[in-house]
Amino acid sequence: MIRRRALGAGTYLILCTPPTIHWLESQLATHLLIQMPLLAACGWWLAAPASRSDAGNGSGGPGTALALGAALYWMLPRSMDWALENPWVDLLKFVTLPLAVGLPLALSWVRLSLVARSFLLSNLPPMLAVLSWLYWSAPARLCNFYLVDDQQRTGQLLLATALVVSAGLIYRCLLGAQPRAHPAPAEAARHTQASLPLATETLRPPSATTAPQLEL
Amino acid sequence: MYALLTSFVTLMGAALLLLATDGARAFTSEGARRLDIERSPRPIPNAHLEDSRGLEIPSDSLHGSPLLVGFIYTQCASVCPELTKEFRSIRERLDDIPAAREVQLLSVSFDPDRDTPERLAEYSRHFGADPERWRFVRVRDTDELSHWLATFGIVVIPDGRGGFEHNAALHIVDRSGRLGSVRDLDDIDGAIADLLEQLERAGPAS
Repeated sequence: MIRRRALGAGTYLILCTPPTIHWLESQLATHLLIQMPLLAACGWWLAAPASRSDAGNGSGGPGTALALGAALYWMLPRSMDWALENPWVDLLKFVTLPLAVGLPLALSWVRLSLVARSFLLSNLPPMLAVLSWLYWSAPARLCNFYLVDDQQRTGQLLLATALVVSAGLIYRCLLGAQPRAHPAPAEAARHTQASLPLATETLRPPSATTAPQLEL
Repeated sequence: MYALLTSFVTLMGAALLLLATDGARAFTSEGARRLDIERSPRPIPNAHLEDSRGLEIPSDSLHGSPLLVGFIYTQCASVCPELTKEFRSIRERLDDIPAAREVQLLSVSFDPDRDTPERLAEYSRHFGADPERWRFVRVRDTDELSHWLATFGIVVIPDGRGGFEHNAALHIVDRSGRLGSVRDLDDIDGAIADLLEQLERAGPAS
């Protein structure tokens, strides 16, 4: 946990240095696909030690809604332009991506039901593909501060990301380790061991009874 | 309780996103610029324009007639020739309407170093422009140029190959010198409708 926190803090410090900001924000692809996800990841890593506390988050709904809302906001081309135009808005981005996206998502993820997690994960590739199509096919610039070439390259990279995430999910579903739990036992475990939501992972080792069913 | 909190956060998020996109009408800065101009027309700052004949024209001397403005640089191989062709079509259509002959067209170069009056004259001839009613101008003073670009909301960035990328559109300025609407590059009908609407309005005195 301490190592994850150090990773989060270290990455954040590096991202905050002016040369890194300048380098990552000089192109749309690096701004959207490296800087912003890394900023959110910093929040996720920093949150790890606290993730066992309830923090008013119930089954993860409020935190997930907050994270999705803030992430959507920063994905608007207009917000990215605004951050490039106004250093205060960029500062707001550096504060809210870790604290309103990564951190609440980390606190919520362990509490979300298997259905909710699967829903979010399986929506990720289509969402990336739609974004890819948008950036790749738009004839005009979506962000005034970036070139059309850069925009199209971003579209291609978004598609590649969508394919990699899909491949990862397919691997996980069809070939990877057994799922952590059936929804019902997971719920039961969560209610009985509310202080240790992560325990569901250890409670459900791969069992001979579930494996054949999943292979069908 | 948590369901209530989740709904609250979701609603707040949706409200924020609606607010941030002007009610889902503008997702890009270009869309936001157009909405903002329509809502509150912007007075165009004064600038010293130099036309293709080398004449200096104070921009406020153009007030009094509706004005169609576009931003270009003559080395541009993509969007500027397209924009200039649209200007030519609009000029031809306006010339067919007697009342609309007073509308002025202004193609403004944001590359004053390379776009000398001679170069602008050549470009203007290539597109068959009548310099009395369609002027090609440059703004030599860098401060004045950046002030103009900022007011119109034009962002020009070097493309790394000696040219520029910039947002291009049809800008309609009213008789009193206020930028009141922005139309898409290919929306000739919309631009003409806006110009005719400006013509029907009384002169700058009212």
